Amino acid sequence: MKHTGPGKFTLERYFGGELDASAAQVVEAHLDRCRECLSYVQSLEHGKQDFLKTHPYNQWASIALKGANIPWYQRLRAQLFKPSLLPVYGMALVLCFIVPAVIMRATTPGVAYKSGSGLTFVYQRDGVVHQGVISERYQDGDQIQISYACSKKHFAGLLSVDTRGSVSMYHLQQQAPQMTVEQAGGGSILFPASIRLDNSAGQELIMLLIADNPLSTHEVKVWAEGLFETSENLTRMETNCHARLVSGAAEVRTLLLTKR
Amino acid sequence: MKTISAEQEREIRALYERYASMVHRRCVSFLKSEDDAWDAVQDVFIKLSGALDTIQKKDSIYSWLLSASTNHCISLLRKRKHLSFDEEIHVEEHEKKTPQERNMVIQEILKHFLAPWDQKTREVVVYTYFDGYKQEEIAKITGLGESTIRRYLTQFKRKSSQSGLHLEDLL
Repeated sequence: MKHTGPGKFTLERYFGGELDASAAQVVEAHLDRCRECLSYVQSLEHGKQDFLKTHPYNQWASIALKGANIPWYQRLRAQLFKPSLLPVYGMALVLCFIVPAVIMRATTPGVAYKSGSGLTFVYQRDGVVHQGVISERYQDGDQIQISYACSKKHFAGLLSVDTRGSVSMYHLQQQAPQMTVEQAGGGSILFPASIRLDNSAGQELIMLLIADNPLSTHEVKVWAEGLFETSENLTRMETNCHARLVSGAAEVRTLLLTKR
Repeated sequence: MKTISAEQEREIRALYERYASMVHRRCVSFLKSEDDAWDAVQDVFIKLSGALDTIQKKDSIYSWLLSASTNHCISLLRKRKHLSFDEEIHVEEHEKKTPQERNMVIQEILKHFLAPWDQKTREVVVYTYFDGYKQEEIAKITGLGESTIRRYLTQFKRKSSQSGLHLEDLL
């Protein structure tokens, strides 16, 4: 016998609650009589329960609605703060901030940062004072006066090492426990002690240590001797002293003079 | 994705809990894969959540879901690797088909014979031969008149039989 009654689509709409009251009543009356249709509707109900256990709404919503309720500024922030953009931001940081800062520091007078040796000097020979030049050769008896610039108050200590590795400290007080003197900041600071070159041949590496606190004479001497031991020559030592600064010093400025 | 209000989310939730299982059941029949069917359900309901404002209140949401899921599944099937109709179907025409065999036939029909047809014809064919809906029901789903539905079916059957496919025999 041919099945009469609502079709499959109608039963599904009934199940979904889409039918109006009168149409739903017609279907319900049919379901009371038709085992096949009732079985179909019951299978829809069982299928719904099983499906929602396996795929509840929250599972779909977490995938489908991800980001839908996030305000625009939070979405923008999420777009801007992506790991893949970090190199771009790093480059921008370098170009926009670091390069100008480096250029400014290099061109501002009286700032502690120095390019090159950071020291200027005059020397006295035979009673005559001359402007010091690195390229010149110096001799036994030349008296070297160091000057430098440092923008803030500091402690400064002067020492030299010759080709034999002999370390000399320059201080107004002999045997001072600290080899540094307190100095005010300025654009042209004269170190209060001078260097008298002896008759040893070769080179003389002059080092000016700048620190925020006094430096121990003993520690600096040990440091300088250690550096000499581990450096091939004074030229290499000049490089190494910047890389392996004595503890407590903020910077070192150097002059490598060649003697006759 | 646009921001969804709490009220809209409640509406979507209610629709999901009411219809998702039926859409899923249908997609499993089409695609023969639980995972693919779940993906299809997700996509269909995402589309629904975006189209809610445009679906007229008097229209059946379920009709919209049927249409969307049908077209989505046909689209997925067409992207799958092409299989020879003859290789797949080994059932003699005079033999009674089991539901599994019938579904296999349907899938091959969907993949091979529906591709050249327009969307409405594809839907009419699927609702008739796959879902077993009555023509008056298909009219409600598609918004087409029953005479138009009959014309689409006639055209499809004529063209398909020229290719050697006799739907009534197979189904």
